Amino acid sequence: MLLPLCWRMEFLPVIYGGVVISARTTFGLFLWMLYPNINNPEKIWIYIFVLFLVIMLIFIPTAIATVGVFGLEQAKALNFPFYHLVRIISIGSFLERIDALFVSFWILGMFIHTAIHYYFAVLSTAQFLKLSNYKPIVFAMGTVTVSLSMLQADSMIALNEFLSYRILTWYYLLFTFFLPLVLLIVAAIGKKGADFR
Amino acid sequence: MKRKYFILLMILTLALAGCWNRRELDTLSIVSAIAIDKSEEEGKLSVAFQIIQPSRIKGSSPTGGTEAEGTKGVWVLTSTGHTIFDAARNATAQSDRRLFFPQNKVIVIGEELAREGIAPLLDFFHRDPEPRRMSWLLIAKGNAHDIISAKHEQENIPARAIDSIIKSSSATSMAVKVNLNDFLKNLTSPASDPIACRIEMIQDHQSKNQGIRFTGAAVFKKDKLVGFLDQYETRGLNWILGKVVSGITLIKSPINESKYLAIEIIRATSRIIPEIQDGKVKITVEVTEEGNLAEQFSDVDLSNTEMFKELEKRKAQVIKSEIQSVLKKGLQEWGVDIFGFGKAIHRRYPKEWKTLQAKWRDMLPEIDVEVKVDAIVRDSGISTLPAKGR
Repeated sequence: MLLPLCWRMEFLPVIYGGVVISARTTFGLFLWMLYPNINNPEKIWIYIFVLFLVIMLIFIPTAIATVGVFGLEQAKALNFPFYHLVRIISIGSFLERIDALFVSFWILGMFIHTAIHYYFAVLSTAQFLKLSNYKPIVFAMGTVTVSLSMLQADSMIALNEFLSYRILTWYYLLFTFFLPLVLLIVAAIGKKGADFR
Repeated sequence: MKRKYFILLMILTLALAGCWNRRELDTLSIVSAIAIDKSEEEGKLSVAFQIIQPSRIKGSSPTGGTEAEGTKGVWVLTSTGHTIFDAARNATAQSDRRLFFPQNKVIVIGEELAREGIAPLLDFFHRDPEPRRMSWLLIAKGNAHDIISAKHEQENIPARAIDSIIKSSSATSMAVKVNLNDFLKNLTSPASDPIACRIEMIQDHQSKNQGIRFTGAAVFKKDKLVGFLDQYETRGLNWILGKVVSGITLIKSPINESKYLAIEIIRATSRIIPEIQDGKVKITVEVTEEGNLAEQFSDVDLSNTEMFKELEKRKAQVIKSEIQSVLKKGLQEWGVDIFGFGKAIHRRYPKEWKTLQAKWRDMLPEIDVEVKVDAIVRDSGISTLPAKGR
């Protein structure tokens, strides 16, 4: 089934899409920062596997449903296609407007997302500056984050352009792939860390 | 100590900003239908908003008794503007409450305006967060304002009546059900042309009231209305799209050509099979239909299977002619692809479609479409004999 696609190089967009999605899973990166503090480091592979599995299970139905309902052109044009999809859900023309529920989960997710990024930003800065405790810079980091978030983009269009897969992926890849790669090479040359067979 | 913190926490919650931006129901004008027509002023739109008046739609309240003659549960507010949003904001000069769109069920556009292209009109409904994408999109034969001002015998809110009529139209399958989302999907897709619901005013002779009638379909070429399909052509379209749910096919009696038999449609499915041979496109439409004999005005003896076969043959002929009439009108007369043929080719021949796409519209009149109908008569109701004196 897939073989003829491979011969004609038509699978490249699929792989590119895979790279984009996996680049966005910066949570995976944090796992390695937590690695020294984990009780049972052997088990972490299971969690990483489950993490990617869950992300896959969420992304695939989301994409299929959105393109199926709105059509390709509309799904591309809408700002938050999945949110609009939830808005038009009507269960038996009785249970409608469940977008309030969706938004509350969305905000909760955003909160966790922000909190984790915030925590690791503070923690890594403290480690980088060799501080004994990360607490003093929490507030300072908050100030910087809020002002940066306002400076980030002038308009929705500019923000969308930055967040699109063409630009943001490379920012993510820098942190999720290239920097760890450099660290790995350095470690391999210096023969540091656990020996990898 | 713990209790102290708890009390402090409770006091702090009071400081949380609650509903500072709330909008109470009695400060809103809930729009249930929108009608868009050309204004008498050059280049302007005349937009009518059907606003629900909650105080009037109490139904049979214990104190109120009957409603005064002629009162409706709605108020039709007309305003003009260069764009729809302009008109909506101009309407606030006449309404003491802010127009509120999320409950909007129906968008009606006048025929004259639709012939000039409706894509600019839909941009507001597509861009603004308030209107929902599930509103029905109707094209009025004639004036759109009349449709939403028409009184309906059973419903206080005409928009709700229109909504119910559209939903129940599957009983005949002689109308298309199109909401804004479907329309936009077909409009923006390069492989198809959109359709919309068609609605018209009719004169009721007995009560002298103007009523609405929902049949047929409005066919667009890109975003410009090119014409309307009548009810049989519309069912032809629904056969192709596989959207026939129920309905009656009338066939002439095999015994007496002047008398009719009514066969109820139980289920129908369709398949569009495209084929490309030497650059020529051939499309096969396969329709499978099942029905029950519901009524006969002649005396066909149904106790033998040969008669059933004859009925099936005649029914297949009727369905085939419905399909062919819409194909002729759509492809040859108007050159529009409302049938999803382009999509079917895109799906089956993705590589060839890339080259076909640009000249698809010019190719439409020359497409060879073969219609295959497999019609089955399953049942003859609870009696095999006609109601007839011996």
